[in-house]
Amino acid sequence: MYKIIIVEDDVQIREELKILLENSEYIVEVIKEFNDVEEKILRSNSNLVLLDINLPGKDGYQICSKIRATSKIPIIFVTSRNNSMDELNGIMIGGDDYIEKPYNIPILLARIKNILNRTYPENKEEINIKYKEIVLNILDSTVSYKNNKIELSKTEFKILYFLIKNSNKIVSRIDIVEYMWDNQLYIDDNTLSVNITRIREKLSQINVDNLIETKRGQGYKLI
Amino acid sequence: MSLVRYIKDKILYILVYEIYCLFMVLYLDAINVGSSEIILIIVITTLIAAFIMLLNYNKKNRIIKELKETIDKLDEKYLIGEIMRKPSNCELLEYYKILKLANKSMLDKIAQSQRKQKEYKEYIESWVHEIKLPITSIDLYCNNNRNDITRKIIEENAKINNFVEQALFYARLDSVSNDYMIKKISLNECINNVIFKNKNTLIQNKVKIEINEFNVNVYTDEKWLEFILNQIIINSIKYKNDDNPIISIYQEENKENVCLYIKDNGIGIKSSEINRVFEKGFTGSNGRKNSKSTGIGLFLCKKLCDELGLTIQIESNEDEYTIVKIIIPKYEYIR
Repeated sequence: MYKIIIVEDDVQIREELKILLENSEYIVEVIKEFNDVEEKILRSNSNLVLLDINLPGKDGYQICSKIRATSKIPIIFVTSRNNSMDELNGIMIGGDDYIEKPYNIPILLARIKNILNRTYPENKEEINIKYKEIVLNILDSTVSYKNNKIELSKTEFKILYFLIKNSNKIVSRIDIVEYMWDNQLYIDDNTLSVNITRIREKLSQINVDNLIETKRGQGYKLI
Repeated sequence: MSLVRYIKDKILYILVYEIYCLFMVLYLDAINVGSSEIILIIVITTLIAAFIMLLNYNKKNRIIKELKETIDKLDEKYLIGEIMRKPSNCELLEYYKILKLANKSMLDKIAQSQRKQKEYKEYIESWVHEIKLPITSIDLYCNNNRNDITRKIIEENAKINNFVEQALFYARLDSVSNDYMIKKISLNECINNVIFKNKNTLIQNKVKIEINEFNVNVYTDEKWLEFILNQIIINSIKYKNDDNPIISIYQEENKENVCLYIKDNGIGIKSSEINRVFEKGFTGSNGRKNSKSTGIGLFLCKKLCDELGLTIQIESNEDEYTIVKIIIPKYEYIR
């Protein structure tokens, strides 16, 4: 798991961002005292820094250039200053990305993921996702059970992936739709039903029956 | 300055001169000067006087002409006092000084109002910067605690954010140093970002999105283009038809341009109003019915497109569709 350090002086944003990132399976450290920030970042052994620009004491640019003197740790500027000069400044000084507040949460997460994958290519995310004996293969978009294997469409695959990732709870339809939109698959409620039916058919072809249970009025749950 | 006007202005001098001539004739006649000599003297003095007057007219006319030419070439005409040659003539010098004074007070006024405008713009910018913090934390709170209510709040929060952005872009409009950065951007990413921004509203309103995958890069400012597209998408949602709303986004490419089309099957725009949609404050009959319209969104779109060298066009059939077309030049050297 990757570790992310948040340098942000607005308490609300800092805490909520921490929850958000923890929900997305990152380890999160926050900085609360803004003295020797560079030191703290370097000592934290993080994989990525989310750095605000307006900070008490030294600003984000200064901190960034201090860090760059000794470390190549990826830095994403997160700020509400939205001026092209600020952005240029941030990149010139060695920032890896520049995200404006209020950020699009899926975009923020996507950029974090991108930069982490780019910086640490050796430990890419898992290729296979397992649920009981069912295996989802990300590379060729298939699902297999014992020795049977069947191909899924992009939409079907993402739905099943999301259900498996949240197999411990009931997943509401709107949650699935929103997740799909975050992945640039703009489906609506009807299309979701159609896709669920298709997934069930395909699963039964590989001898998996009744995996997805419909909870009336609530959503779906894996059994 | 016509000669006739000039002579009219000098009528008093001429009158005095005439009286003088009359007295001269009477006087010379009294001391028994012959009538032919008298005529000669009068003719010569009159010629000299007329010559001096013409010379004077010519000189003044030249100065005026020069001034007129200078002011014609001048963009900011109020700067004439700074640019004109200092006259040597004492009368003109007084006028010159007065003009200078008037100019100075004008320039002070302009500088003052420019400073005020700049301060106001800076205030708006810092205000936008400040208000984005609570907008961000509201968004984070709601996303970390998703339910039906927080989804509605996210939707409303997105509206607030859009109004704030409108204010920011409005404040930056017409400012001398327009702040943009032209770089290579992916049109696809730009469109997806805008859809992300409106995700909740689109899902809540059951709007269907159709995008044909395209992989084209353009050279423009990302933030500005996103803002422009956002206004268009928001309009499409605002003026949707109630059953089965669809927004489709597609593109056409030729040698020089990429044309981006955003088509919806909404209530459309009356043909009598379509030419006015980019006017500031124009809301039209749709806006009045809807009463959510401010008449700022499309106005800003047009302004920003002009600034970026993009072309924006709108086509519509009432109760059928609206198509917004944005033409983006392919090359780096825009303008």
